[in-house]
Amino acid sequence: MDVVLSVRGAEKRYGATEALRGVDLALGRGRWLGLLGPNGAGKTSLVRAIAGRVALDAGQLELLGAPITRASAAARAARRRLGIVPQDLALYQRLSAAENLAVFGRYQGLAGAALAERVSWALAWIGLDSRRDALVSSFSGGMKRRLNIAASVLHRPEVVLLDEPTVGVDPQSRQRIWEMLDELRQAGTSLLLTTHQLAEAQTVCQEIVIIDHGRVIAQGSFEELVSRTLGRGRRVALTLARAPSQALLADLSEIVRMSEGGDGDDPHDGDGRDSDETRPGSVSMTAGADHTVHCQIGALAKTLPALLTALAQAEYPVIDIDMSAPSLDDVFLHLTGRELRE
Amino acid sequence: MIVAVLRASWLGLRRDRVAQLLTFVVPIAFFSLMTLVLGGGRGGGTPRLELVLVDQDQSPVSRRLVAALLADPRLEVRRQQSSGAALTAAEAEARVSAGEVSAAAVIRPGFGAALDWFGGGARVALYVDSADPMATPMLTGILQQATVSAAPDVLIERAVAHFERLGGPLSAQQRQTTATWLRAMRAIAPAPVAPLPGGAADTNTNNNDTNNDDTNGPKINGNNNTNNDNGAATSGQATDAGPPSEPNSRTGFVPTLDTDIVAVEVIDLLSEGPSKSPVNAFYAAGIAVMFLLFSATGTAGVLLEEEQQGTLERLLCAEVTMGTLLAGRWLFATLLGTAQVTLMFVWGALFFDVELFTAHHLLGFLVMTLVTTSAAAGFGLCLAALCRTRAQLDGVGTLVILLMSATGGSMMPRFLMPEWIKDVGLVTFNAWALDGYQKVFWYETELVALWPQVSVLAGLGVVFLVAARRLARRWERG
Repeated sequence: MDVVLSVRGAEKRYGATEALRGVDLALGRGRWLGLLGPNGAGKTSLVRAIAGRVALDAGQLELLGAPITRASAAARAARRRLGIVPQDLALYQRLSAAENLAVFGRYQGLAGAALAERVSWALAWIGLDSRRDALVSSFSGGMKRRLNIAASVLHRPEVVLLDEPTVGVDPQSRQRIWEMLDELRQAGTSLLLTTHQLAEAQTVCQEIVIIDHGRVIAQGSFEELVSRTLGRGRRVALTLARAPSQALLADLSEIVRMSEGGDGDDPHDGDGRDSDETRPGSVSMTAGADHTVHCQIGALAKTLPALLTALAQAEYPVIDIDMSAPSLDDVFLHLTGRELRE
Repeated sequence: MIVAVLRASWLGLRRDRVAQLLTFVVPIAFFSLMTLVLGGGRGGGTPRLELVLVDQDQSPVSRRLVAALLADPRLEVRRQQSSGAALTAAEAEARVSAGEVSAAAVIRPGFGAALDWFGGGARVALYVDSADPMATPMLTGILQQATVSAAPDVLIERAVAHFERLGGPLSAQQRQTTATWLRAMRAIAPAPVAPLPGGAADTNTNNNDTNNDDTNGPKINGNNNTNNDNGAATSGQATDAGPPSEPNSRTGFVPTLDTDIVAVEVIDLLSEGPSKSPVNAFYAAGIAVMFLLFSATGTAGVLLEEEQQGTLERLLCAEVTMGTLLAGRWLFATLLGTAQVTLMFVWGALFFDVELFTAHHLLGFLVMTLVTTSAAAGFGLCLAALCRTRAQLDGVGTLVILLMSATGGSMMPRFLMPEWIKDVGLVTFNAWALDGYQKVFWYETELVALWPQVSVLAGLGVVFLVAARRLARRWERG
């Protein structure tokens, strides 16, 4: 893999708080990397360090082959090939779309015909050509988001850092933004994305890094992360007509264990922790009055009929069956826990 | 429901320090300041007026008048040069012309000899700067009052002499009673001050400025009673040590009742300058500087908006350094301020007779405006870098600018303020700027005379910019 951005042993401390504790990651050329983590995990500190806004206490940063850990001419030259899309709508509200792009293009070192060409390109790219002279204050959230992205890539950066690029926009705008960003990736741009939209990260990112408490706790493709944490089985939810007894749940658990045998993925195989609730062969009933039994099944064709037969024999009619593959949300919660982060 | 609305409003106000500041602190601070400026503080009273005093007569009566004026709590009298020698009339006139003081009183030769209750022609020339409209009426009254306090015995003695001349001699008993009164009056009259070195040498200077017909000379505004001075003695200083007896020049003098004791010749040294309406220029500068500070602060406040919107972070991630950003904002605020002040003066020139379009005024205006706007732009950046939010800047900025404008002379002329407020005003931006504009449009001094104002304002500008740059480090650190 042609690495365009590498982070090695990044450490950053704010007083008594350790924001980064030896983070490593690598972004390949023309690839998506999703940097995920709960609030306060250290994502922003890492992105700001790459952007040159925060100095690391220890560790190495390399961008497009140039060390950028310390300020230098080479670091400045490398950062000129970096684009940063902030989470805030960092636009001048009293300027038009074209004026905003022109201003930020100048800040990025563009001028004259090159600037005009890039502004025209950007307006067409984000679908705001017809609104080029409208004030940004009159735009919808989705339009502002698209303009916010365009303002950061006018100078054709080779690496783009995206901080929550789709927050607060409707599904249509979100879809359009992902398409826009994928166009950039296909053109060879490398994208580092921080987001809480895990379903989208799961879809677009070839590489996912999950950090928590300043450390990388999982890294790899989505499939690799699932395999290492939750296993390859399907999550099955059986909604019963009445509340199951403890004896029934024990019987169902035994059926799953017998049916799965040693075929299920070992939950201890990966980087993450295991969970009684979700590992293959376990059975649990959710709280509440919906009488739903949850389990995870690896050998679906064998185990599911056995479960349904057992329930029928015990006279527990099944009124609904839901099956799903583990999602990045599941992996994320599995790895970072359900405790609220403020 | 109303209770819920009240509760929500109260909680919001309780946590909004800026709103609390603007609601409760700013009005009280402003009231206190204006009371101090206009009312002279808790004790009230009028601010002391600076007066340069020259005694060309040097008679016992005139020296008594000097003593009375020195003791007057409403005046701050200066009559000596730094060397200790007495000031001359020419020097006094020069000090008024230069704007160092608002007025100078010159007790003319023969004052003591001519003093009479019924307007004998005792003359005092009052050089004034009409930029201070309070000085003339105040000093005219004080001179009459001080003369009566200084020489009551002389006035009574000469009034009795008139009575005897017109109505016949007094009886022995009347003479005895009169002598008793005179002794009592001499006892309460102030002792003559000692003559200053060189004080007698000034008796021949500026004796021609009572000529009302001299159209090339300073204008004399009324109140001078020169038609009554036909019997006045004009020949040098008196030599008698005690109270003068009836002067030998009184022969034929006809007393009248409708005249002042002292003929005060008011000579406005600056009203005949080329400026059509220098007072309006003064007000234009005062208002312009105050609003210049508001606009500079507002322009600098964009930095805080950029911080809150995330634009600042985006700029700093690009190839823009904080120094470049501040320099750009400073330059914009300077140019905007220059346009703002220029518009104000052009408006004044077109509609309020402000004489802007002369070479001297334009050049002085340009110098003062550039240095003032650049310093104001630095002030705005410094204040913005000091504040955390735009709302905080608006609150703090309003308070600071109103206080500076009140003490610095943007709201009312500084000569109307008590001395200590004037001194405090010198730490404000406004005072130095307004003094500079006043030199250009009122005193019409040479450009080189603007150096104190230009130096201070330029220095302030540098200090503000350096402070802003240091305070802006927090944005760089994020």
